[in-house]
Amino acid sequence: MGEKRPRILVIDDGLTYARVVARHLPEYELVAAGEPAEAPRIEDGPAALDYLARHGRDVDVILLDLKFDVPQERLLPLEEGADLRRTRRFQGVAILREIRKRHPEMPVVLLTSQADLSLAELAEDLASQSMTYFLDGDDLDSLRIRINAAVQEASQPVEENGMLWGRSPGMRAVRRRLSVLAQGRMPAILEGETGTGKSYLAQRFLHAHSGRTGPFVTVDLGTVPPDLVAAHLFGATRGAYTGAVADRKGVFELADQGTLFLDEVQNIPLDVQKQLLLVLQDRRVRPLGSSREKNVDVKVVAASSMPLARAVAEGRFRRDLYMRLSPATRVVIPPLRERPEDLPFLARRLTELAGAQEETASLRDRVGQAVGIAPGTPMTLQIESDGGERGAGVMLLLPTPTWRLLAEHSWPGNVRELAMVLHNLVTFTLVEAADVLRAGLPLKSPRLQVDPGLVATLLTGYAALPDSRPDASAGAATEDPLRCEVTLVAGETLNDVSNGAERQYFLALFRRTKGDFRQMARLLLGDADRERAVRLRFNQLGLKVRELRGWMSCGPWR
Amino acid sequence: MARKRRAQSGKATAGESGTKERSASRRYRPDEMLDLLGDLQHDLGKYVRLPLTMLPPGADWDEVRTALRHALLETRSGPDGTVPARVLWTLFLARVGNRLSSLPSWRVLEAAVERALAWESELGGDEPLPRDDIERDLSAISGAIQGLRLEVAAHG
Repeated sequence: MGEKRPRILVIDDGLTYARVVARHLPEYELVAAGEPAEAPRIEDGPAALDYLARHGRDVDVILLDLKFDVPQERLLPLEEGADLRRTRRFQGVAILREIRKRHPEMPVVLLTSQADLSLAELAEDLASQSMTYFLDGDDLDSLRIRINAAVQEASQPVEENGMLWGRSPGMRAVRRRLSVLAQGRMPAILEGETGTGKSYLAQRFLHAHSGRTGPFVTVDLGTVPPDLVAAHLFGATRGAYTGAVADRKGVFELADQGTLFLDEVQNIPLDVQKQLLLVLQDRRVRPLGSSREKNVDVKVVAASSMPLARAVAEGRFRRDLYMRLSPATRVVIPPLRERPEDLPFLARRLTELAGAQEETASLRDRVGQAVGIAPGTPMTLQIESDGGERGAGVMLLLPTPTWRLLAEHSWPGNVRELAMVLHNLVTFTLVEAADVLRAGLPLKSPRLQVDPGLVATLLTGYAALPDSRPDASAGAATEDPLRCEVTLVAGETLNDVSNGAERQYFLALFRRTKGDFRQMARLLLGDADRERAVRLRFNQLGLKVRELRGWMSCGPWR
Repeated sequence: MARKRRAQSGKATAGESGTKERSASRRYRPDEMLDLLGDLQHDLGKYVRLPLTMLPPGADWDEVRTALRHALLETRSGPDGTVPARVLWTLFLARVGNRLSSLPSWRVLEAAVERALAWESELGGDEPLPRDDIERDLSAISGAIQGLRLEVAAHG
């Protein structure tokens, strides 16, 4: 039996697109709504909303036209004062708004090119919507690619088995790549700054999705003395070296049938790198002092906090070993500062997790019970200016100025640092609330406002630490927000590289101009009036303006 | 005053080339024309093109003929049934009249529509059809409409 085909609902008063999908895109299934039977579609907004209310779960992606020449009674209102002609012309916008209210995660492909909207101020409204895509071309491949991208993106979870992916295109790309790399025995290289979650991803995703039956074994090669690395990796017999009082198994042997995670792999001494290369090629290890080789079946995941290609260029890492690990399998985990749109989501979830830890849960429940909250109810975080995320539990309230402090921080320790800061905020805030109760004073509200001074102190403490980022030594990368890093990697297309660099650049530009598109257009194109071109490029790069602006509205730049 | 009268009458004397263009712009309301051209772009420009451009690369000539039929005879579908490209064009002409006829881009559009509609004569046959030529001619309408929109906007 074949795999289930993604289901498409066409909302269009015309037949063209439904016919195209029915005739030429057999990999998709048109949901059986409306007429004609060979190319079913729904012809107006009210009927579409009614269908989605009843069968929304049967739809994977919507194709939505913009202009609807249908009778007035079958039109949704567009905006106050819009005449019939305008309401018809932009009816797709009105339908999309209603779909977003009722089905925020439903992917929608607008069957119009951005050029068609060049005269419409509604283009920005559309471009900034999550899960909303423009059809950029009018050929079959463009349609297929756009539908596929929408389906793929929609099917990716924001959170999965404890992994907090978020919605940023960078992390979605990481997940897609890891899903492929988890299959089979091929090695993988994970690169990313400290705290980006390389070890966690290796164990909880790559190993967990590999189907391998052996254990996950991790070794931090930054902490193993150089003269013991070989014994640690390959094992040793008694007396093989001074202090080897008994036979010991190496991590390759321990990880047989499983996954071996070599953290900070760039620290392996050059002479051991040669041995490692042979093990990877032959899949046999020979413990130090032994004449016998042992077969091992291990999936190797190598992690580095610096680009391994640079270590190769500097002569600290063997080129042949690098090629054996296969640069094509390299995955770069983006630093937190490059995915600001994920910060509110991460902050909320990490607050909840911090409140559930053993040492804080009892405090949380003590405070919660004082205001009538049942024990075990999860903590929530409310970002004042954001307005969202109200929960039933004890709530940590971040006033706008306090959130700004977090938003403008560069997070050199990445998600690990964010988790630590939130853990401290949760603990300190709960302790203060518990002290109030201990003093016999009442707590009237479950909303506990975070002390801005505490946030500043915590962030200053981290900022005082030496920056571990690869490019941080000269300080130039952090001081110049428009600096981008481009690393050429085999297997990536020029387009991938170009888009990645461009995305970094646009994010930095967005920050620098405080989201002012006219200013961006002036800087980029020398003409402030060409802001629309900049907006459209943002959309093409997957930068959702509304999300960035939402984050920025409570961030430091406004 | 004399100049104003000449402009209103649509006539221009020799040596007044700038005035000739301006006179054309005074014969219509640009906003209204841009609206009409926007509708034409969607209804005719887009939908006369799509059935062909959306064909897979290896489509056989029978599929090309079906797509051509959809493009020219079932261009727009609505509650009142399907509307052919020729009717869409005629309706547009009735709305616009000759108000844009003095603009250079108007001629380009007229010629593009004429070339595209001429393919109707091939619908009844059973000979292989030149897909590339058809696609080029049907797609030209969209470009011509866009050119006219730009000219109207510039003169407005």
